[in-house]
Amino acid sequence: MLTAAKNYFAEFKVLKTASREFWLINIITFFDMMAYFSTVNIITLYLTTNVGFNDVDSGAWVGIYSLYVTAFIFGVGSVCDVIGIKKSYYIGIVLLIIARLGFGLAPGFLTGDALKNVVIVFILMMSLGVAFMGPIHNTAMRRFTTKENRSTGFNVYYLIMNVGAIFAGFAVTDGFRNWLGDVKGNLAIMIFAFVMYVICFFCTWLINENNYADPTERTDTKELLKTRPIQVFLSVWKEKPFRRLVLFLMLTIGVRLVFTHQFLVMPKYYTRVLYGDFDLGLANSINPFIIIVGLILLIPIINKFDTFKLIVVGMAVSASSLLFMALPIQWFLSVPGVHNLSQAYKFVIFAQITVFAFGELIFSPRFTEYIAVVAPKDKVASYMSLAALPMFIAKPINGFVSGILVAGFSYEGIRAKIDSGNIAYGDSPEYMWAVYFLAALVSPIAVIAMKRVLTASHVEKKAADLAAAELSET
Amino acid sequence: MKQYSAVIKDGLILLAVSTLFVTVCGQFFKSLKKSVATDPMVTSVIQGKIQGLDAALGDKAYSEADKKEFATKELFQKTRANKQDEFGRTPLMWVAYANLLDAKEVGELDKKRVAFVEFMTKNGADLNARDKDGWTPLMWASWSGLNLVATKLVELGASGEGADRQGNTALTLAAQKGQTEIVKLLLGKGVDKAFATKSGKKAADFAREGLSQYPDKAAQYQAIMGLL
Repeated sequence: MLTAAKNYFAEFKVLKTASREFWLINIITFFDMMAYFSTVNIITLYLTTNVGFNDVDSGAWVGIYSLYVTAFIFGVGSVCDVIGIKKSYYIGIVLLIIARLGFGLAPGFLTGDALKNVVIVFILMMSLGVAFMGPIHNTAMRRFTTKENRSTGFNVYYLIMNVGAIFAGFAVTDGFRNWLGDVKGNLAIMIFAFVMYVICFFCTWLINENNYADPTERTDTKELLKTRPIQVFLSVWKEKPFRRLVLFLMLTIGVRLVFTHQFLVMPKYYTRVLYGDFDLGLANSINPFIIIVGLILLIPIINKFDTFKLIVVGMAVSASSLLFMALPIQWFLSVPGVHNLSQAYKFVIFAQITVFAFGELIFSPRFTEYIAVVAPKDKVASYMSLAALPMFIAKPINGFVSGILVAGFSYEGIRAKIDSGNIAYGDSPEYMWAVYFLAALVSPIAVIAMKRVLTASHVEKKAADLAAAELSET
Repeated sequence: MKQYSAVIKDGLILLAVSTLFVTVCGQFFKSLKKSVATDPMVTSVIQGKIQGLDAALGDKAYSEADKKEFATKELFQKTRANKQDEFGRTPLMWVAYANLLDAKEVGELDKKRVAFVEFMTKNGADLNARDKDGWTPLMWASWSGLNLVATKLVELGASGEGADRQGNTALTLAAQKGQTEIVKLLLGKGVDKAFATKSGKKAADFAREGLSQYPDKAAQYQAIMGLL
């Protein structure tokens, strides 16, 4: 274990020669992630408590937000390549500055429908801003690293993203909510996010975007605009491997959506089955913490196993995490050390987060690998960008469904009714999780059932490799 | 600009498709579950803005109301103040509800909420309204540990008697949650301490259970057991 950790950090030595721009991008990423995760940790609570949306509408609007992020990423990806890193950052950051400031200040000036409508506008602005930030981080990391230190550079980037998510949880989210209470705390978090983006703006100002780490990677920007998202889709959708990929992605949606529950469902679930001042940020920090530790210590071991098996095992582990929350809560009172309902709920919450993170650690990195294996060599990038399509459809549906389920099974005040025995299993939050558990469980089962279809390309590839090897021998 | 037109066109198509998609989804899911918009009065209670209640019950709100339905301002205010949500809860029940662990925060909220109770009752809120499970504002305050709110409700005439569909009363709820002051208040008003819930438990049984389940609140539970 210690060797694995040493090896992981020893790699970082190659970054000694990395440019100032490389580190500026990482600083921007850190502040961006702090702002992003602290906001998404409380966004459903903010929409309900501070704006006045009901549970159904707040879930729906978070779902719609994620749909627009995906839609805008398709659209702005190629625009970012053409207008350059700095301009793209400026556009994204300014949109996010306005949106976060608006979120923070609007409830102080407006009420009722006027407030709701203004917040909807800010949600749409935020989705466009987020869509700009994602692709440009990747482009910038690529530009400011050489072929030699690129993989380590991306490891650092991924590490910083997760560190940002950890701090956003226990430090920012809990810090403000414990200090100022939930109503003012939510607004302060939005203002904090605004400050983070102001810092990002100044960091962007310091970037010299022409400082290519590898000057041979300069491209003609006019050529880049020729790759249009819809064209890409139209060119690949008739291909058998692409349809196979879409099938695979559709089958795995149930499990992959569990991650989105962390922001759509969990904050309300935590604060309602436990208490309003529960440290939800700390709970949401556990996942990125396990991911970091796992990346350092477990990935070298996990990587020795077959991709398909890892995907199935990882998905099964992740899906099973929901079982903890789906079982009748009274059953957990017999667990040693658990004496009351609050402890039982904390136990199931911690168990779910931990088990899910381990499953995610196993299957998530293998997704990209699977796409690369399925895609024809010349179309890997197109397949990668279109891999988001099933989630594009699933996210808003999940938003609507989560809103309905939370409103019915995890509404404000439900804990009082659970304590007093007024809630049967069929009306309980556990029932809601049973629905999500079954939806998630479909994924590993369906993938195993469809194994032959899904791994056909692996077989073809192996046969081709074998034939090539035989040919070279003769 | 011309070079961007193709991408902008694609972006607009994606935006239109996305919007159409969410609109269809929205209509479909709305048809599955009729959701009730959150009452602005409830939002005001949660946010601690008493002026929000005034806006919902005041002259301006009445001037915009349907006069055929509400012949007098009093009728409008009474109807509005007792508007129930999908679980049958009135704004006054929301005033009497809090779910916080930190005793200091509960105390601060409790102080602020007293003015809300006065305002709501002055405007016709029913002190003994019941939600779908049969809970009254006093039962919510008892569970929540809002001592001052409970005291104010009792002062204004809220009944400590009456049980929900499981047989819980304000007293059993207060005993279960270790709310010593509220137990004292209710006993002082002469509520029946021998009343048993459907599961056969009396307030003292809940306090005994609480003592074994929440050792950190042992002092409160022991005090309650002494009172019962």
